[in-house]
Amino acid sequence: MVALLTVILSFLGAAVIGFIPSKNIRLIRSLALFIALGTFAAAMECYFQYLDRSGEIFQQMVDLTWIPAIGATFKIGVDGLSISLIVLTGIIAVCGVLFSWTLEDRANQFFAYYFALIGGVFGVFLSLDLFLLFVFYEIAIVPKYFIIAIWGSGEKAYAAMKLVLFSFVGSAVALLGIIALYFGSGLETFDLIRLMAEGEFSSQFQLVVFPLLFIGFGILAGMWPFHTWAPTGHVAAPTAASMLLAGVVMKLGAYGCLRVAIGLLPEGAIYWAPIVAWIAVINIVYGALIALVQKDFKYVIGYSSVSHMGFVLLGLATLNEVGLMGASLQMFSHGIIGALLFAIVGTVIYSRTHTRQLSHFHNLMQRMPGICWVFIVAGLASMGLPGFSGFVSELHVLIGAWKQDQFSIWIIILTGFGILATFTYTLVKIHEAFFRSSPAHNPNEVYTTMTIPEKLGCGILLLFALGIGIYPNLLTVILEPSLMPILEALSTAAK
Amino acid sequence: MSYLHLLQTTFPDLLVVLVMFVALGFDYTKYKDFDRQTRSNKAAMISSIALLLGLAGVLWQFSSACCATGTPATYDGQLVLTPLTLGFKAMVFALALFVIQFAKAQVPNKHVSEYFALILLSTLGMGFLITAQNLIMAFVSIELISLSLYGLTAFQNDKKYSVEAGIKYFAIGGVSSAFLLFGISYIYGATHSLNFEGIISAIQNNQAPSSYMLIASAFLIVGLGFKIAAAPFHLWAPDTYQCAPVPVAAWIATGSKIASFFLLIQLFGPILEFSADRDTLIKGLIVVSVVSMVLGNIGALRQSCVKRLLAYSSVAHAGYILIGLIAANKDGQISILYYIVIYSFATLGAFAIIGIINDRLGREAYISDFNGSWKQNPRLSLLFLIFVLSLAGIPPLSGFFGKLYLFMAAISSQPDIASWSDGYYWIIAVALLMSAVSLFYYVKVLKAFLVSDDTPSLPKITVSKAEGFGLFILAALVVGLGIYPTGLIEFISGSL
Amino acid sequence: MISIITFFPLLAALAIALTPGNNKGFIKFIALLGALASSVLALSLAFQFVPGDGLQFVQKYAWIPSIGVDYFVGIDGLNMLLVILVAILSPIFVLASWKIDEKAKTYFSLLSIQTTALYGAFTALNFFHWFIFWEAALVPAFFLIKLYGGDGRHKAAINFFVFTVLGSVAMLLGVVFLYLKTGTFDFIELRHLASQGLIQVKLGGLYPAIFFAVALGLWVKVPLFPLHMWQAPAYAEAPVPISMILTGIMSKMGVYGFLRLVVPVFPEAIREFSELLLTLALVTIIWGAFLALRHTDIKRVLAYSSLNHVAYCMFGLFAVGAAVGPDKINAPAIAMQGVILQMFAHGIGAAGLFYLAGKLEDVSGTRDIREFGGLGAVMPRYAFVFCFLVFSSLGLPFLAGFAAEILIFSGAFALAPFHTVCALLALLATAVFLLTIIQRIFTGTADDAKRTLPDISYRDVLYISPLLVLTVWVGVSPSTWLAFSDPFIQTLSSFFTP
Repeated sequence: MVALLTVILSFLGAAVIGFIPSKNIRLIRSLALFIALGTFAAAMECYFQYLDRSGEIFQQMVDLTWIPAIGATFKIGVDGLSISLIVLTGIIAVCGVLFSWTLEDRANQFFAYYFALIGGVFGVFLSLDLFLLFVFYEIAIVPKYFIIAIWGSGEKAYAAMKLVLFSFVGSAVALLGIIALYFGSGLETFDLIRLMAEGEFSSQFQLVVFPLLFIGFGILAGMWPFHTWAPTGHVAAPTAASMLLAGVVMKLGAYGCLRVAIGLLPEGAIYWAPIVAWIAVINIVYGALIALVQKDFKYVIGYSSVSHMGFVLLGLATLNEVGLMGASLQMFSHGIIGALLFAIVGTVIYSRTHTRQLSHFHNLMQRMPGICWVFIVAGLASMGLPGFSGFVSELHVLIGAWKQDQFSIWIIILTGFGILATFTYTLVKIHEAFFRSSPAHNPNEVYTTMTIPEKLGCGILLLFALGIGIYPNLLTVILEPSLMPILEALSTAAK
Repeated sequence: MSYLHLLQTTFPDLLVVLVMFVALGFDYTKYKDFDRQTRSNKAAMISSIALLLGLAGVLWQFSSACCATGTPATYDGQLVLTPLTLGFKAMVFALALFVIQFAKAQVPNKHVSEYFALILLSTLGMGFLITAQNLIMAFVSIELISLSLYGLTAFQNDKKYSVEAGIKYFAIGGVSSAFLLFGISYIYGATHSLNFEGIISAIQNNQAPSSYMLIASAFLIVGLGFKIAAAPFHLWAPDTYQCAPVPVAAWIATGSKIASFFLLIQLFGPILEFSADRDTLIKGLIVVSVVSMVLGNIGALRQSCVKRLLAYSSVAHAGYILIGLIAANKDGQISILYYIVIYSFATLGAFAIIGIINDRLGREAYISDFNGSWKQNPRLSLLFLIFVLSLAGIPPLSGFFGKLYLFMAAISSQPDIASWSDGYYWIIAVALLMSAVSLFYYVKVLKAFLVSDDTPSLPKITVSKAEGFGLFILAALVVGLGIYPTGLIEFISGSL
Repeated sequence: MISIITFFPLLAALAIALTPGNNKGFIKFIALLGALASSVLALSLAFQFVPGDGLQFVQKYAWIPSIGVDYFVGIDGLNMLLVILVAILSPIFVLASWKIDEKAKTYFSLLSIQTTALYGAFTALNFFHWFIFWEAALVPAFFLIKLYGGDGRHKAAINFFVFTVLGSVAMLLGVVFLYLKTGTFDFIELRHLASQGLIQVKLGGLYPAIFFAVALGLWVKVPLFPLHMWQAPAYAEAPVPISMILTGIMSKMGVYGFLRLVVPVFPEAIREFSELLLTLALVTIIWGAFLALRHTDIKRVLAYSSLNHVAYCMFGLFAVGAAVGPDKINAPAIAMQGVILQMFAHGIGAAGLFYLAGKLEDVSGTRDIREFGGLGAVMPRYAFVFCFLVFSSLGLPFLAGFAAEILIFSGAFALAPFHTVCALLALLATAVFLLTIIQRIFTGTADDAKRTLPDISYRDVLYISPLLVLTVWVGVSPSTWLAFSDPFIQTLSSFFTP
């Protein structure tokens, strides 16, 4: 029940805030923060309850009949994987509010859409019925449009439409797959647990339907070559939305890939894994190389997100314990770090310099040293410096990829090259951003130090990035049992 | 059959007719010198009474013994009263009631009572079509609907475009009626019966020569395709929807579609189930469906007049609904009926809002006129958001579930998938792709309402209590039936 | 205990970073305190250390069981001397930085973080754990060069980082493969497996490839030809205390890595490729010497001198691989002892030399050797200390360098005579450039501008006096120092005596 609280709180919050008149900024903000904290608390409660569980894999189950005509039930539950992701969502929700503290224009509508989006995201992670999962998946699409189109910057209308259309097409492809699953299992149900336990899908069926599901969900995860919506959308979005989009919404896709595509169609997964691995490697390398040549700071972060999601996809493709663990860890890690990077670039730096062009930054290291250092630490975390969560997850993925005999050695080598490229673009962009002079642009402006909400937000995110880096056991202890069923299905299918 | 039996079966309609005459007549009394608005209010009130009486009658029939026992009451095989038909008839009456509330604010010319009388007549026609069990009955009802609607379309006789639209509608409609009649004659020739029962049994027993049935089906598809505005029989729709008075356009888009689809299911359901030529017929229907979806959505992309946009979108929706027919199973029929209901609610709501806006604006509204509406008219914008998102098929609104149910009905008839071109998956893929396209233009409209920061060209709009109440009910239904569709589905499937 | 030593400077760094205001004295004091506290504790460990007793002061906790990673630290004969080296040098680094006032907070916190990383890198015994510190040591150095260095600092910093990371990635991939085949990241366990010959069996045909991958990471760090190109710019552009760290300790990380990871685990590979490895080490020695002759920037010269001297370590190490038969003397053991001693000796000597070079630049404003001359008369104290350290480097008997080099050469000669002869000739080249420096700077007549240069203060001499003392101590009594590592070396060298 506690898990459901996250969804309920979010949607209720959205409705309530939507009706508060726009003038009462302080009430709106405080309420928003309160709701976000509430969802985070609910998520953490689920985490602690899961640690105490007595051996069942799914907890907090709610199971109501809903639409018998199509075998859809309102079925909700959490396991380690979903818990890690709802905790992530809670964290990002809180930090998103903190970084939107100064937003005043139509604030009530902003937070209404914001929490509608968060509610949809929570719903996806909690759903154990494919129909319900899809409903929440789609609910999350419309608020994205409005947030970007109204409060975004640059080519916001175009970016918003592109993002929404890509997401919709992705979900449409996934819907085809889901309908196929309903009929192909012989059970005529959307119930995820039943499908996993009792569904019998013929090999031919799996081979055909797996790409549908994986590509459908993969589009939202930023899989090459369908990733182009991501940099455009993330850059045009206001900061809190970029944090959510890069940090959490992309993980919706990866979650769908893991839970639905791989979990239900293991044979199909085994067949298509090498190709997925190659696509993932392209994500990693291509994303990093494109990030290297960007002139707009936010685009660098946007493409780095595409690159980091490549690691998630590679981990998924390995189909073994270490790799899947790596993918799950990377989902959490990049969620935190990506959000942090967008927050700093989009709000902390932009609100002071009013530009995102790297060539316009003038001696930032002297003029805003604290902020530069926070970004540098975040950048180090992002490039996988040992001690931060990124290193742990990338190492798992690497080991998992190597363990997978199906993969050619070139996948490992190219991944190593991708890691190198990541180091390079991170350092080069840090240099371009903070260590250059360009006196033509505002040489005399004084930059304020970080405000309290900004400090809080950065601090929270860095804390989690460091914490999981130093003690990943916090997550692996709940992820391991949850990955068990999927791994069992894979090993049975391999025979 | 006894005359009494006829009266029993049709007394709600008779009530309506009687009060309609009152409505017609009062205009020739002392009221004829009053101003148009007062007359229109009066006429609307009388017509509403008429519909309320009719509704009451239908509901009484619904609960009375003849229906509760489960055996349908028929009159001489011409009309049938089952819970389903009565339910739909009641819904049509209720929707007409709603349309009248909106119509009364904007009567196009001085012939107020004729306006409302024609609306009532078309409603009656729809009611008869729904309960019809005989091809002649059906045809007569269709004509009743069509003639009333032709008149209503051309009602603004001081505007050239309105009359032009009316004539277009009439001309194309007339041709389609001819196709319909020709098809009916072939059915008679093939099955020697005009009653649905007889036709079905003839097909079941393979007594209907297949060549006749094929020709008949083809002509019927053309004729009825026109009525539901499916492509390529849709060319009348954009002009008519744009140029007719808004309530009339709304009524054409919803009421006549409900009734026509009802007939389509009654006829083609059994034909597709039992006929030997079903594969050819299904192929034909697939072509119509796909062309409708594609032409409808692509046509809507470039529209800046909202009514035309909704016209093209209704063409597309006809395409989606035909997928349910292609399914050729019971689930398909249920899904069609479910979809047509919730589609009508959403479309009616959207048209109503546009009508209100047109009226306050004093002219035809273009998308750019909606800019910044959220500032002055937040609730209207929110309602419009709900209706449009339902049309786009976004969960948890009913439009999404309706589409999904249609798709699943189609797939369930051929669930095995061994390759990507098997079964009807590709049609669903086309439908989904076209839905994505539709999202583009729906969002364009919503962008004006909710995103744009421009100074609104619309003033603060006040909506009368009846209108507001009606809109709220429609929105609640659109949302509620999406979150909990089971009630409606069980009702439909129970009596199909 | 080891963890406390390792993380104490980190706490100091945090304290520095979080102090409000900019009280430079306070900041420097905290930094010194952090370094000194760890040094004292580390040296106390040295007294408690029992050579030959295996791994001591062990702390081992399961960390990430899913990939076999433990938090595993300990001290044995191999790293005891190196921990002592860090302990002695780290306070000197802080003292050498005393004059730095601008952005002091950043500087001293980074310096303290660097100290933590160095302690960590020498005490970690599980690859993952060790790799964290290995990489962590790069980051503060990178920023210290970038923020406080000379004119070419940006390029130097990036080169430094990228080269090292390239090597690190190769090493990571190699060790991951090793983990996959052996199931462990633990250095001690890997050594065990290797001593039973199992590593070669498990890796099969990929054995040479993995050896080279792992060696690559360490190769870059030492550095050896041909991956040494980052070194001279980095050493030259870095601020003096950082150059001291780089030459004194970070280059030793590379050698240590070889001794800890490569030699015990891949002895067959070293044996097989000993020709190639020896040649490359030799080339580095000669290359370093000749380039040192060519350049005129004193820091560059010292950088190439570093290249040259650390290459001797590697030479000795690779020579061990060339062991072909049982000897009456335990040649591999001797060579390895020389290697360890040379690490220590060069560490203290080179650090001292860079310090002095920095002092010279401070007072004269230039690093160009050609501008000096006759300073022996102008600054006699300075000349004495400088020459002292140079002679140690050269291998003057009774100074540290001699003891180390003679051990290396005696051992190596028994194992790879031809190469050793070449190395001896290279020794000549080393002598030439070192003496040339002395001649250029100190002999002759000083021109007018330089005549008024102040001599080195007694306080600065005090700062490096521990280095001078140690240089003599090691030179006169190398056995005291070798006692730490002797038993370990005996076991290690047994790999190589068939």
